[in-house]
Amino acid sequence: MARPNWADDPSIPDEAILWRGIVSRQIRPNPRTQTDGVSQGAFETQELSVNVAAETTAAAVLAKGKRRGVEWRLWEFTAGQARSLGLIVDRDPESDDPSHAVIVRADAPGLRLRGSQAKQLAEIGRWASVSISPGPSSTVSVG
Amino acid sequence: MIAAETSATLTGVPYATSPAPFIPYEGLSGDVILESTWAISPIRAVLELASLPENWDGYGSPSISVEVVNQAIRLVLDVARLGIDPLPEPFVGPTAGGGIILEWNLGKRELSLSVLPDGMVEHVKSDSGEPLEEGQATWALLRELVSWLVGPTDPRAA
Repeated sequence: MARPNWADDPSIPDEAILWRGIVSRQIRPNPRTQTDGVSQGAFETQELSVNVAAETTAAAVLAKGKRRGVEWRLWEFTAGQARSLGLIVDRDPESDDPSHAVIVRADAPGLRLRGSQAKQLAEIGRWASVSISPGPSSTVSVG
Repeated sequence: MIAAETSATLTGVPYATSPAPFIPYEGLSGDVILESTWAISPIRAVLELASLPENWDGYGSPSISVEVVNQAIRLVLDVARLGIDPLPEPFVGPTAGGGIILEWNLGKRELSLSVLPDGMVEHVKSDSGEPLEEGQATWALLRELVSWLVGPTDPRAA
């Protein structure tokens, strides 16, 4: 929700992983890495909603997307990476999602992220490794 | 059929300027006159975005306006009209705020042209993922940007 007083929140450490839901129309092949990447356009907005990964689960974020009628893949980067691009990371808890945070420009909170900032969020991030948590009595064998 | 006003003389001026951000357009009727087959696929991709509903990304992004669609079509046609070959087809996608972006990768060089919700067009030039330059695109700048994308690599950068 738009508000005039965005401020960087130091309680979100630089190491904190942030998740942004990406829909299929924003996924594009990256010829340099030969993998699926994200369009810069996914981040070209005024207030970029993210989730603080340590304060939620991938399943909960994906379920939030489904409640909103979309299928997300989760793109992740750290709060420190966002800050290094001249961005602010601030908490913006929602009633059903206390881990919700918002990224805005440090020099002009509320203005659309610069194209270069959006481009770099698409470059520095990666797809979150999402696994479905097994039940308490389940075991998972690896390798 | 979609109309795109492509005959205006716009050399050297921004794609859109306040307070008249859009060149008059005909709305969702009429024809797009193509001068090259290169433009077909990108224009189809732009037209597909016209049907995105509100909140298409789950974050409340607006649907894409007819003005933005027409501006993006005009941009594709102008790139095609440059006749720069070989130019790969761009990725065409929606932006989170209700715009349309065209993105090209060619080797290590990347160029993005974003049609903003207000009709302005902004560009970002990147090399190996690192942004080099950004700003408002003008019709005069378009040839320079696309020529850079397909141009020879600076041997000093090797």
